[in-house]
Amino acid sequence: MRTSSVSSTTNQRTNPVTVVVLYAILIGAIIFAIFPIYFVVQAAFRPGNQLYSTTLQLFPANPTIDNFTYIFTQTPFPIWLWNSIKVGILTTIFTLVITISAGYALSRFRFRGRSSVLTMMLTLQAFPALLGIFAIYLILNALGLINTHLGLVLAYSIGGITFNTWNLKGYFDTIPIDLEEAAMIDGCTPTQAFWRVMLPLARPVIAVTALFGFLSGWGEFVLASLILYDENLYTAALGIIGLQDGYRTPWGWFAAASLIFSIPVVILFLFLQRNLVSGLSQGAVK
Amino acid sequence: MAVSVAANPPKAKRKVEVSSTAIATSRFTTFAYIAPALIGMLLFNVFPILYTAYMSFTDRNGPRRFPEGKYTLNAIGNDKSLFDNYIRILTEPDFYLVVGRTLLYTVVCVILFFAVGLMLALIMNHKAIKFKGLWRTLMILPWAVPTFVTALIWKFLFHAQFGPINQTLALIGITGPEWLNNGTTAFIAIIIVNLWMSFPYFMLVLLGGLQSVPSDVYEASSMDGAGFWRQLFQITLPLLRPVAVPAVILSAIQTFGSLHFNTVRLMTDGGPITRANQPGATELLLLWAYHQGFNAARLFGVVGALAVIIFLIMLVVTLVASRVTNATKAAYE
Repeated sequence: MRTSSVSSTTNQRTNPVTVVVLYAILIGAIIFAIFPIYFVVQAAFRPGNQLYSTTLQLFPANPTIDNFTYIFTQTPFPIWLWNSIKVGILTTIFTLVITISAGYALSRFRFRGRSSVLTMMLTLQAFPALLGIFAIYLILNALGLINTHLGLVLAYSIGGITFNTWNLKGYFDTIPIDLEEAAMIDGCTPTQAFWRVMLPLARPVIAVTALFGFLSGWGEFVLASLILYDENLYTAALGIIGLQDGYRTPWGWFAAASLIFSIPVVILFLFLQRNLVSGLSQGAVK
Repeated sequence: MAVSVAANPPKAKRKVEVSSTAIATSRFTTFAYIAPALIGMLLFNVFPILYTAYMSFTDRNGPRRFPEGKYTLNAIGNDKSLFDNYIRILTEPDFYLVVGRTLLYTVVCVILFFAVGLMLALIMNHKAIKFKGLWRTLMILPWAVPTFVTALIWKFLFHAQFGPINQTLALIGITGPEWLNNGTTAFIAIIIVNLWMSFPYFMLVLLGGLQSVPSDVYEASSMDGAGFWRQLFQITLPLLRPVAVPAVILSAIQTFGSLHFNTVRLMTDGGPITRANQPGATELLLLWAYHQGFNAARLFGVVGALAVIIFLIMLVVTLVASRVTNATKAAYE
């Protein structure tokens, strides 16, 4: 992290009271941020009879992995998780192919209708997609993709097209075109220049696009519930919501399933957090 | 797949025209690059909009789930006005109540996102703070939690008897409210949840902006005797404008138009109902619109009209915002 901007500016030391206040606010924010996550973690390790306590208990008395055993052996959760991973990876690939090629063309090629495409994308984004969900059902039905994962993958990939294409285009715009021109003078075709010069330079924004592609379907459940009716095809999000039915079903199962379900995403976020800053702000600022 | 098509452009087109802003290429290559996105948008964006707009002019307001062929265009198949569904919405007091509440929710949320995000970004940029990477990582975590997990965790946290929020209040002798069963506290609760999900993004964006402010600007103003607040309003905020304005607008559009749906649906499903025959206290615009179709009445004509109305509102806001901020102008060059 670049911290040099403010440090080393003044010789005087910061007032200790100020430091204490700053740390107090920071710690408060961190508790706010991680307490809910901690709570679901400890709930996952709680025996079933200790879940509903009327006094504050921050640590489970007799931690157990019963909840995990249950969801992995007594529910279709492993299948659901696999389905989600499959849908997530396919959505990532579709998103990358569609948005990188479109973003690159919009950044580098000049063609008739280019500004119309840009405006159209901005315009379409304003539509409340959720309310057009029936039309998506009809399209997938016409394509024979109801109750299939491919149908979901298509819908999820297109859902994020606008944001990702604009974001990619903005980032590509910041990369000097001279580099590709040099490659083309050396005999590359535009497509080779794209693969060999542009893609390696655009790694942060591609990482961010991949992350968003993966996430676009990971937690989604409204469209999934409309399209998938075979329980063995459920995504984990759909399945877990089914597990959690009011306060009657054991919350420990839900907590354990949610924990497992969130881990891949948290790892991706931590892994990509540096890219997240540059991949999201570069296009907007410059 | 598109890339395999594009990987073999016609060999005849290898002549390179050097220009400073664009790469010369054949029409075929251009089309191959852009076609997957266009076809996808036609099927999954344009068609739903046209279909929904069509529905908004029909009398498809009935109990069956997919009554294809059992409905007609207003004014052509029946004696209603063509704009029957629109008139129905615009003369419905509930609509204005819901829009007003959603606006209130959006304004409060965005002010909170910005204030909390800015405060934390300033702290994280302060020279006295150590282990910045660790704190940043911990504060980004809420962003990584899937939305429905967020909603269901917080529903439990806010539970009157079993939830740790009221249990903590009990430790200091306060009897907490029945958070999600009371209109005002339920509204506060969904704002807190949205703040939890959104402040990491604002903190990151504003921190990125702060780090690009040259330090000698502050040095000069410190020498002039400017205090914290004067520096904040005269230096920091104006310099943060380019990153802050797009983030605020994007977030306001999302908060108003879609971001409330998943969390509110799973936490309260729009409830609690505080007055009979009125929308629930947290039944914000998109959720209310969704309920018109996905409840017993199944008013899909009305849903279509609502979708068009929301679309038009969002479109105007988006276009005005992009004009005001000039955020998209450079994109066309």
